[in-house]
Amino acid sequence: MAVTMEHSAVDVLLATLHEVGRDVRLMDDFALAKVFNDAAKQYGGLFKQFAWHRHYHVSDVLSESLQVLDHAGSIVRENAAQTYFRVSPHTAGPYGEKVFNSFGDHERGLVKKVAAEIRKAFEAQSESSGAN
Amino acid sequence: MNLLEQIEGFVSEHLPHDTRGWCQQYTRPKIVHDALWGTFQLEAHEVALLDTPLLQRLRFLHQTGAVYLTYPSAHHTRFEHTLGVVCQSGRLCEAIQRSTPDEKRIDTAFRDNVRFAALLHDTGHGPFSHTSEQFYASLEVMEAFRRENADLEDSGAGEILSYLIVRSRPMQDFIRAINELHKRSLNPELIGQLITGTVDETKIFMSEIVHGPFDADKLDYMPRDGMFSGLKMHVDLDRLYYSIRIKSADFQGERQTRIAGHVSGLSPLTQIMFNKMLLFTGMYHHHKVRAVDCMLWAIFHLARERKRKLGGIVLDSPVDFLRITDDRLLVPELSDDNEIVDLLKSIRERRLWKKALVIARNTLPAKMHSDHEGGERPLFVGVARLAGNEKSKVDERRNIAKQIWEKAGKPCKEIEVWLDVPKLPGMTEAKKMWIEAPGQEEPQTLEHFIPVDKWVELYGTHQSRAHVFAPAEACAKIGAAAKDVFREQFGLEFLREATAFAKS
Repeated sequence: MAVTMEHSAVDVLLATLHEVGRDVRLMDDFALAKVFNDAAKQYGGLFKQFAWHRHYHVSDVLSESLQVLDHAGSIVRENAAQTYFRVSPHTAGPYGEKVFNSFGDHERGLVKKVAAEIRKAFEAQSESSGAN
Repeated sequence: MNLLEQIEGFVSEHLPHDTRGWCQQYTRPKIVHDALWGTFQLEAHEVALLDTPLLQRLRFLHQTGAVYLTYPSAHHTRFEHTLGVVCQSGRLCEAIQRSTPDEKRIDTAFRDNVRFAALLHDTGHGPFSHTSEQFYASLEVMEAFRRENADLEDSGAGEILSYLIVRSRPMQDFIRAINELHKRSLNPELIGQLITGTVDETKIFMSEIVHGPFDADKLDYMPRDGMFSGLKMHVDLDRLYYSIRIKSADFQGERQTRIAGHVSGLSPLTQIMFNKMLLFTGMYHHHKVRAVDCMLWAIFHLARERKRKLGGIVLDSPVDFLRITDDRLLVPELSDDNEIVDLLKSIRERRLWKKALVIARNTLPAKMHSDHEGGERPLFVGVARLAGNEKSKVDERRNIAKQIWEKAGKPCKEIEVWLDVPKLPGMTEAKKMWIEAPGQEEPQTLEHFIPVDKWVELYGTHQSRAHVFAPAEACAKIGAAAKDVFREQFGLEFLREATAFAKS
């Protein structure tokens, strides 16, 4: 494909979710927003745009990028209320890998760190709620 | 000159020079009759501001840009919207005072500052409102200002200009004269923060009246846009006002005071969210509306690139956009570029670009749909990620349009072929609005009661459409070429409907 990969918020999120993988159930909630806000403060750069609103603790960029990924089938919503989601096969697979590899070495390292933080936050949540 | 200095010059030209003499003329309140909200009153000091050229210019900015070319009666302006926001912000103040009678912070100074913020909140709008705003937001001077002012990074470009207008020296002088002559406690710093929502944590509830998930702005523009376009929509504001109050609570590890709704008053909030979806479907994403937006973008693009006149001036900076209004922009004689003049005449005579290609669920075979199992999701790779007003996205879409134009054999001017990929509706209000329910210590947010994420997902699946626009006479060639370009570059296949729609 002759598509130029710009590192927009959607691409950063997609690369991060590629690294998170399919086995963790996620939610667009305070915990996810906090991981991205911490990354915005700690790493800046790619993640700066994901900083949350200081009063509402909501990142419009994160939520709207998730909506684009939802539209694209890059995440799949689950359960009756459709509030949880998982990474879709094409995000976890070669397409997600291609986007991830379009970043430089340093950026890939940061993406991996943020993905690890997401896994930590949501694995702990799954254990405490008994969900899987 | 930096942005602030330019704003000072603009405000100085649009406020009276003899501030005290001007403010002394205004001694009595004024009754306003509004088609939407009926009769309400403005205080004398509010009329003093309303009568300045700074506010009067809002009469020449259509509230919904060029939507009137699609919905003929949508000629309402930022001026009457501003009056409506003042009216609703006053009613919100009354409502929370009634429901929280022990709250001493809602006094005259509170109401005055909130209503003044409402009066000033749209003064940073340029011609055709959000269309020009999206354009000048990507100018380097605005991006640099955002980088240097972290507090305002989340604010819209128009909001930032409104903020700077309020904080400018001429406006501070004007407000000082009002405070002295009318015995008020208006605070320009606070008013600016109310507009951008950058207040400290003790004033969040105050800011939420002007800049919050369900603020006076939204409570006015939704019914107003609906009423004047003819799209019927209803919000039971009386019910809403009886179900909100000021609440202090521990939330996500912080003590906050905000405006909270009660679970028994969910229906007006649901109506507002539903109406917002309806406005996107019926108005903001209507293909004719999008076509005119692209034509205006083409005009701004040419004027900037060639440094040619539009509305009689060269648009060097975001502040220059404040110097032209809708009526001036559309005067062909005020431009010195033939292509711009042609485009202006096309808009004036409603010779709008047509759909040469439609990219949507019903124009692509099922295997291209995002809910189809497996595959790379070509719709996403090719189209969804092209949405957005960042310069990189605009350039990428222009580049694709150019390739389509060349492949089609250049049947029109290059600037007349435009790829449009609308963003999905932003609906994060539901993540921000507190809802109280019986038996719960900590408030929940509205999203726990209304599945807005799911709504947006369904909107994206069933309503979202990207278009390639071109003049009617070039549509057949451009449509065929666009199919080829999308096939070659993005692996997209199309049903016959993709170009058949072009006839409408």
